Amino acid sequence: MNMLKLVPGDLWIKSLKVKRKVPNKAIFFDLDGTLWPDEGPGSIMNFEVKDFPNLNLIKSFSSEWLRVAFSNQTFFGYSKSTSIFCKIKYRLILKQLIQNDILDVIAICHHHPSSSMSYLRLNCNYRKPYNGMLLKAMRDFNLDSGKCVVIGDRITDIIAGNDSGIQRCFLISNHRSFEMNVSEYELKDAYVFKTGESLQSILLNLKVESGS
Amino acid sequence: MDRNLPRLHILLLAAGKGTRLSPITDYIPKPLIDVQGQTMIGRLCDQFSRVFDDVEFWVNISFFADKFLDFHLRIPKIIQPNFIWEPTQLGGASTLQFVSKKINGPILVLHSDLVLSQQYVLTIREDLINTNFRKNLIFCHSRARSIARSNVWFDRNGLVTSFQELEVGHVDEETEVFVNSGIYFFPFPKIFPDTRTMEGDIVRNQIQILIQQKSLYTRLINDKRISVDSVSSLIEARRYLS
Repeated sequence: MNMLKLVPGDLWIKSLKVKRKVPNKAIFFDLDGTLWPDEGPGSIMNFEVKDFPNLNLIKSFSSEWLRVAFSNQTFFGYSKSTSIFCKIKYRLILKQLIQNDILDVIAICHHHPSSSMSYLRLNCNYRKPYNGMLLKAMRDFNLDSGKCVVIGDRITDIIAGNDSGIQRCFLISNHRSFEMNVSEYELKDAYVFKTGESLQSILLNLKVESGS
Repeated sequence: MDRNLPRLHILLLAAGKGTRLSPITDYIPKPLIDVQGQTMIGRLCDQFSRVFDDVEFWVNISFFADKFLDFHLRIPKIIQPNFIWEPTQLGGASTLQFVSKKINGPILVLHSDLVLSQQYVLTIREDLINTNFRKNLIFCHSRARSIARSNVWFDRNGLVTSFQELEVGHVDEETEVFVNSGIYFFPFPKIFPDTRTMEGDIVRNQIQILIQQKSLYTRLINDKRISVDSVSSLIEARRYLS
């Protein structure tokens, strides 16, 4: 159970709204490069919620799916980003994603094995490609792994999804899809995923498949 | 088309290095080589999805895995394959084992460097229907023994009795023999033993098990098929499709 214990540096925001009924299936989104373009560490700071891509499409999954974001955000480890202003804005944007009904749950790991901030210098089990965030979400919300979906833009998202027993993982194809640094991670024999050129195409296909 | 056919899973083996086609394959994986305006693997997906109503594709990738992500853009969305990413190349036998754990139904395994005529694919469909999707099949073609490297021996009922891979340079009499086409059908792939020792090629592993169990049958198809494993065969494939 140690794997699912929150440690300082992990962030976990849930929707304050009481859902009519929590669904037992979830879409797990990566953030940078998936929900919005990846512009390097701290991409989220360049982002305004009103400009959110695919806003209505993601909102349309609200009734039947739990929408969970799971992401590594290591930019706090960079000294330039650790001002109070940055921290406030960062939290504000995340809360806006919840308040605007774009996401139901946000799980973020701020750790990095070589972070400049000592309290964040950790290769924790929440950090992708480890599957701690997914397992905790599935346990907390009583999700059925067979019905869940993972959408990410890097192979580390797929590894975390496969290792959590989630059968349906989608990889957005871009030039960074196979970029990873998992030297301390023991890779399994093989991982399964489907691809799509964009989040929009994947979500539209998902809607067609689920008949919603 | 007959709507009662079961869902067919098709495993396309595409994780090889393709060293025999170097330097062409130094920058692009062999299945993605363009042959008359279409990649080899894209053409296979296209052909099989036209012939079978309910089909699901599985493509194993290892070398140049990132190049395959653009692959789905070249084929219709409805036949987007499941990619199996192998951090280190497993070999066809282990990949088949891995896929068989994920599926519940018949599976057709073929090498992704094949160029097949549409009639060839239609014949495969007919054979599967004739056997009611219930027989383990190895699809063969006929060649002179002097140039054949993987002879398939069988009895009058088509039951395979032995499979031999001959040494390179072997010369024998010029009689016609059945040769493995690199296309296999397994109605119940879960029967293969779940061991990590099953490495390497399908032929040397699963095929030998089925021969021992006396449950592997051969089918002869002499329609046009080209296995693109050399520059000359690539030229032949381009000529054939032009």
